[in-house]
Amino acid sequence: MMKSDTTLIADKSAAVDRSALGRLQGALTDVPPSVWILIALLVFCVFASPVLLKMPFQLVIFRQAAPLGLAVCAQVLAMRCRSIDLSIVGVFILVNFIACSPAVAALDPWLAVLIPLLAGALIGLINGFFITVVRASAVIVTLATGAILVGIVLFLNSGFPPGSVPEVIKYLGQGRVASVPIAGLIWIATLVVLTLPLHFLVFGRLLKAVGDSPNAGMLSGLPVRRVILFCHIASGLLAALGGLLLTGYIGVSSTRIGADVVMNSIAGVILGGITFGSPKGGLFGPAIAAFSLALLFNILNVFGAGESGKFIVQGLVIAGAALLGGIGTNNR
Amino acid sequence: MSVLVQGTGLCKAYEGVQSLADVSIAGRAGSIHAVTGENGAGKSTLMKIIAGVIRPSAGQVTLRGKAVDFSSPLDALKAGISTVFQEFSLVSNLTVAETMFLAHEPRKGLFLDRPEMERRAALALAEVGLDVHPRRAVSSLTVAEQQSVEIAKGLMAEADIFIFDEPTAALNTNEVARLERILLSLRDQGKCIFYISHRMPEIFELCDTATVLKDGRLVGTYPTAELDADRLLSLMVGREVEALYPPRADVTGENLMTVTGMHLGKNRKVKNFALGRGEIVALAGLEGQGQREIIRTLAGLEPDGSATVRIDGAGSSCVFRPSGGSARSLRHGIAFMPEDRKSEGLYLGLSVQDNLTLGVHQKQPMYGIARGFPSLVKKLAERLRIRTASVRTTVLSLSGGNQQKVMLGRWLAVEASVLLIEEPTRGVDVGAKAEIYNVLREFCAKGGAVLFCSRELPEVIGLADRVLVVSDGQIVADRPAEGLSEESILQAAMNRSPDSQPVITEPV
Amino acid sequence: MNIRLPARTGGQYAALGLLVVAVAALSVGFQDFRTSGNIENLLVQATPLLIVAIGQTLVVLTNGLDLSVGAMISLTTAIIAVTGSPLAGVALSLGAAVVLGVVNGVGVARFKVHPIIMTLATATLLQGVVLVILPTPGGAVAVGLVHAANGELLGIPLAILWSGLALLVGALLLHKSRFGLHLYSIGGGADNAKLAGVHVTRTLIASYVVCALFAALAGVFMAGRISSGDPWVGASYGLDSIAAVAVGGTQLIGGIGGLLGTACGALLLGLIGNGLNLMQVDPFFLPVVNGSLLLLAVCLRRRKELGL
Repeated sequence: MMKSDTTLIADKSAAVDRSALGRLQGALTDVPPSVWILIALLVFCVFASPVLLKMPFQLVIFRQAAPLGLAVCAQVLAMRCRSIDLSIVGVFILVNFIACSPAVAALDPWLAVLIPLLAGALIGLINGFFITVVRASAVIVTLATGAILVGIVLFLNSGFPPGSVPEVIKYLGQGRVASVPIAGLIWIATLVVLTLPLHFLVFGRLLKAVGDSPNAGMLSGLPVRRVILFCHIASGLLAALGGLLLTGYIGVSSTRIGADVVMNSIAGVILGGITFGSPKGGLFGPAIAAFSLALLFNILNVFGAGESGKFIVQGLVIAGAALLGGIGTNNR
Repeated sequence: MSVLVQGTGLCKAYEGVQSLADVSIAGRAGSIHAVTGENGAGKSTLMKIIAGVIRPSAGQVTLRGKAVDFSSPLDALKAGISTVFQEFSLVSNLTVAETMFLAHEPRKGLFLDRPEMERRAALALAEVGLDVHPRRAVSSLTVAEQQSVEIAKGLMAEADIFIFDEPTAALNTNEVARLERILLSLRDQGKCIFYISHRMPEIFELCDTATVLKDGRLVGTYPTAELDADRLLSLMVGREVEALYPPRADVTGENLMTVTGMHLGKNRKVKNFALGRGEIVALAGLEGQGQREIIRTLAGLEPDGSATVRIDGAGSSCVFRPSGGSARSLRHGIAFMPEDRKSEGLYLGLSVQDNLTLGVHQKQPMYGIARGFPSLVKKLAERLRIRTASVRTTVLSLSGGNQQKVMLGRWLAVEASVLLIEEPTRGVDVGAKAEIYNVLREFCAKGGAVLFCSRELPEVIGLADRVLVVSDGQIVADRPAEGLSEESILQAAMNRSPDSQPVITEPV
Repeated sequence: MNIRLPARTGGQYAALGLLVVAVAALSVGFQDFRTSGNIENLLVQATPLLIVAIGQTLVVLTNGLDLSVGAMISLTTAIIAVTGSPLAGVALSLGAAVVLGVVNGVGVARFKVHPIIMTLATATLLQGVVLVILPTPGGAVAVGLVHAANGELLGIPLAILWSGLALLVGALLLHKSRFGLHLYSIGGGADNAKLAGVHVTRTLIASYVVCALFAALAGVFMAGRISSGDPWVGASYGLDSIAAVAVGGTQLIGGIGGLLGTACGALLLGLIGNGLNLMQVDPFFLPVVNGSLLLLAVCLRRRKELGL
């Protein structure tokens, strides 16, 4: 009869403190940092600028946060499979250009919305190709494609009068339903729709595995490269949706649209508690982070901080989060 | 001969497993001292302590009578102990001279004194008889040349004590002869050389003393003049085989998997072999002789390897060539379990449940609904006796044995027909070992087959029905495990004649 | 085995060849290219990129990246345009560069933050600081600096001399100093380098400091060149300097490459700008070509890893 070695169970959770305090501690560390930041910001508003807490303003912030929220979703998908998407700004600009081009404006409203989205997905496909087939660094690839997109649009735009945004897109960006911004509703709907594959479909399980250990995935015969490719296609699609909403909101063709969306999307993901490849954390934390950032920028505006203040805060936030959390860890 | 370095009562424990217990060794000037024993006997651990790579949990190392405590290999090198491990410490993109002088480069004023570096490097290289220009890139050198550079580095540091870990593993005959000349010359200069090896011919040719370890304990230290091959072997092996292993199967004789035309790169052809239905076959031999490559080629993971595999399933058979990753082999019912479960086999951040069901999920389309398969998970956990508070616990916090069971469970869940396993019970405690062996037997009793490789010869003999001894990428012996002894396996594996003729010995 | 190519050359000679071909093609294709005025112009325009790319090379050799160089250039022009004395302006800029380099280096080496995240964060932070100091282009730059950037010495534009000087300093650092050798060793085998006794953390921090200093020097030149400060002038230099390094044959995984290649890479990018000019193509197309070149460069170096 074999002696069963009691050291078999090195199971930390079995030894976990089952007291209420212990469970509370466990639950607290699982809360994304963005929740604390949001609470802090709201508290700050109570004392320093109560007007921002009023519902009309909150809804405005909700609408402003939507494009960023979608960019954050895009970045979440990329970072979950240990990649990154720095081309989001290029997709925003591309989508704006396509939406405002006369050819698209003349089309059926559905197509006017669909074509920019497909363009975003295509960019994601190109990124994914270079990353999974050529095995180039995601940083370099997405930086390059982003720069190429910006350049192409600037080049195509120069010398032409600014186009106008089709009505349907303006409606998506600016419209409201019972005073709730449609852009915000689209954002929430996207979150719900995204949660489905991540939590309920096989793809979500495979993504968890790929993010946790691409090595083990490769050796187990998991379709690692396909998973990463799909993540990038989805990332491009989501970025396009965000760009579309933002285009609708500002209502004109612009070459400066989404200038800092890359930085903010990374900030949103990190503050949302997601690290490269981590299976923990859903979409809730990053969504709260997007809203918090929008709230923060509004607070900065109220106090006259302007563009410079925005940049400084963004930089500090990311650097701070990365340094403190050891997040964004260099896995090389 | 004076004692240069001495280790007394050295112990080392890793996660509760005692890999070295109360071992003492003394290195004398002008001596080539063999350190030998089976795989896992503790030879590397002992030498790593002396080399400053790891610290002992207990015991003392003294250098020329003074107690020392090295915090890094660099420390040890400064004290005069130079180590040539199997993974070299050279930096591949530097030149020979640069890597030899890295971090203590001679300077002329503010700048590097390259001419001086190259001059001194050339001198050291000449001492080891290496005809290589100091400005050659390290990456352009052969393994043997890199090894000589490592030795030259040690000479330049004026080391008195050299440690070599299986130095001839990657060398051809000429290179081995050259190494032997270098070692003899070092010895004649009064250096002390520790020589970790299994290889009988080398031990008896070169070494004057041999320290034998077994299961982390010291068997004894003997002058090699008083030993012969048989006596040495018997000192290395021979222990009570515990009643760990379930009874062997009566093999039905139908072949489940037939392997033909296997090549392990560089035109190394491997003999054809087959696995019978219900059979457990082991690939045994010294470490790194090709066992892993054979298994990985069958899994489709070895870029240099190729083979044709025929699977005779229930009523149907198919032939395929594993390649391009393990997905193809998996489709044909062949599942692969790597040796390093932590970095290559398990998803440590995911739960037990996730790890167990991922094999099944892999086979479904990505857009399919992911079911939790709670009943399957429960059944597996019971069958494998996975001890965990909940199936939602992350695998990282499980013990080695339970982790191994989870990895095994994943492939049992997909109803594979053949299991390819590297080191089925590495880092697994005795109780879990027995449970894993039972599960593997059950798997075979239901019509599956298992091909595994293991460093632990008792496991090879105890678990397998048949043993294929592998040496230098060749299958040199194919014997039933019944009545096989560790000596005969080692003999078959170690007697490698200069022109690599396979030597088949009769079981004792 | 021959020793034709020294260790760790990488694709530098290929880049040199490419440069020669490009020069030949443009000389044959465009009469205007061959004028000494155009060649001089080309070399002068390439100067800031070359100086920045030298610093970037050092960081890339350690398997790192520095995207904050662009903001550093802008910051330097802003500081100089706003500070009265040119000496104080330059000193402040160099001091800021040291601070930036230390922050980047500590984040990457000590806290193990991925270089892309760390330097993007500092880039954004720095850009915010720039906008505080100088919200719109303006300010005044001392005549001395303007002359140093635009003047000539014995008929040769001073800019070319500055390029040469920067290359010389860079080459001495990289090939003749312990620091340079340690950089290569970290890129080629950080674990073995550490085992050998190289101070990896200190060397990494120093590499980011040197990179920031080169960026600041490029900024000083820029300030003289445009004789004002511009908070966005450096914006494209982050990506462009990486492109110059990569196109020049230095591998982004570190350990392989050098300054000859970077110089060729910077000149090649300058040539493209010049060529597009001659072909009267919209200058906006430049980043498209640069980005495409970068994509092409990574296609040629296959890695085993996926993703980041």
